[in-house]
Amino acid sequence: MKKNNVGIAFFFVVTAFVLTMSILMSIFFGINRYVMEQKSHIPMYVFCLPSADKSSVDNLVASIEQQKGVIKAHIIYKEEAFKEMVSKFSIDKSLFDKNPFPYSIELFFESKYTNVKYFQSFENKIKSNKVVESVRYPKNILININSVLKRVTILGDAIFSILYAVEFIVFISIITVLYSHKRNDFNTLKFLGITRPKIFFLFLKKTLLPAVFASLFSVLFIILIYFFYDKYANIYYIDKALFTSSLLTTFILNIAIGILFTLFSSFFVFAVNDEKV
Amino acid sequence: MVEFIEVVKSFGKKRVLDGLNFRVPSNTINQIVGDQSTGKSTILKMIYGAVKPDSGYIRVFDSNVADLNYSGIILLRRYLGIIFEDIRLISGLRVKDNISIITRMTKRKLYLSEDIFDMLSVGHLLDKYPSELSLSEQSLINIARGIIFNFPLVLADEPVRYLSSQYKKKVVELFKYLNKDRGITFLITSQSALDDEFNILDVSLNEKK
Repeated sequence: MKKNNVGIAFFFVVTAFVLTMSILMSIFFGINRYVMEQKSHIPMYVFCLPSADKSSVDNLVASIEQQKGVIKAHIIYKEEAFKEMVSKFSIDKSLFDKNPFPYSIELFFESKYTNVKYFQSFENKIKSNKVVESVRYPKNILININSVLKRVTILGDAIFSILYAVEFIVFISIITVLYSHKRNDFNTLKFLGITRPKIFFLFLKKTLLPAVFASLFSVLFIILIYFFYDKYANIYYIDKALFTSSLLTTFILNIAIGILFTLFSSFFVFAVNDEKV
Repeated sequence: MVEFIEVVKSFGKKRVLDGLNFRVPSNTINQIVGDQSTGKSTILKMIYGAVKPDSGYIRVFDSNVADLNYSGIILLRRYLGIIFEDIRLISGLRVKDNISIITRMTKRKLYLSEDIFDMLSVGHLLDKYPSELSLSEQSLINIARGIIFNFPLVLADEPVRYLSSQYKKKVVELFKYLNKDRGITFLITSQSALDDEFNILDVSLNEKK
């Protein structure tokens, strides 16, 4: 078997590209998903009027559960709240001649609805109900967490754009070397009466084959790594489920991008370097 | 079959061909003899369209090469057997694929004269890569590739340069046989006359200015 050293080098470039970008993206999506999950743990409290009875509060919860983005609506009963306060603060029950707590509802939203704008519109809507006295939620925390998430997303986009641009330059460079390595052969083929489109397909075969093999190798490699990690190692802080959910998507995406980069680079390199001799 | 009329070619300030005229009749073996760097290879390259003349007329078969577009030149090359001075075997292909690529990639069914392998004693080299061959073996494969499909015109640029005298003789005899038996026309360049029976073309290649 005749070795094609530049082809082998390109194989490793594509492997490095697919592995690096997929793993980095998985980590990024993992972090993103973690922050999103934390966001959906931010509650909204709806306090009912002291005069509100249980059936009207039940009706209110039923109507809240129909609202867009609500994932959980939990009634905190007056007695329950009173009991918890007494036990938490070791207060003598007899000091109170009546239960000071109204009925309240703890609400949780899907992470994409957990933002100040939606909470405000929800508050306005819910306040029109005559059972509702007030609505409260940690506005500052909500603003901060959304701002962090936005920054993480912008930073991620910037980093990935730079990495993709660098990878594309690397692809172009190595494919240019591959073309230069074969230039004499391609010119010979032209002297033998073979057309440039056919030579281009021959060139494309030389660039696409390593890219396809590199993609397959990367998938096998990551499956092996995951298998051994799952079986023999488990780092407490690295939650597997957090990353595996996005791993497949990022791999498919980066393999597709790798193949597209190869196709486009091959076309570009051939168009720039090939001569009508 | 080939005719040069008032062909001029310069490389920079150096004029290599100055009003060159000659004619290659069909079914003949013709030879251009000259020293190194006198323009012999340039003449052959002009015939297969790899080098364009500055002026003049180059008729190959019935076309003026200078008038052909690139597709026309590619088409013309399909009727020429070319033996390159710098051998030019495709490095990543075995010897047999180096030969069959001509028909495979142009989707033509050409008659392959397998007896050529025996005549040149290269049959045992077919499964090897060019890098596994000696220079003289590569040269023999280069010759075989140029003549094996019986193209009507063979352009041979210093074909025996890397061969021993024994093989030189063999190749000359083979050219004679192909010319006589199959009517192939040869245009050969070399630094000295290869055979008395070959026509020496008067191309006056010494006008270096």
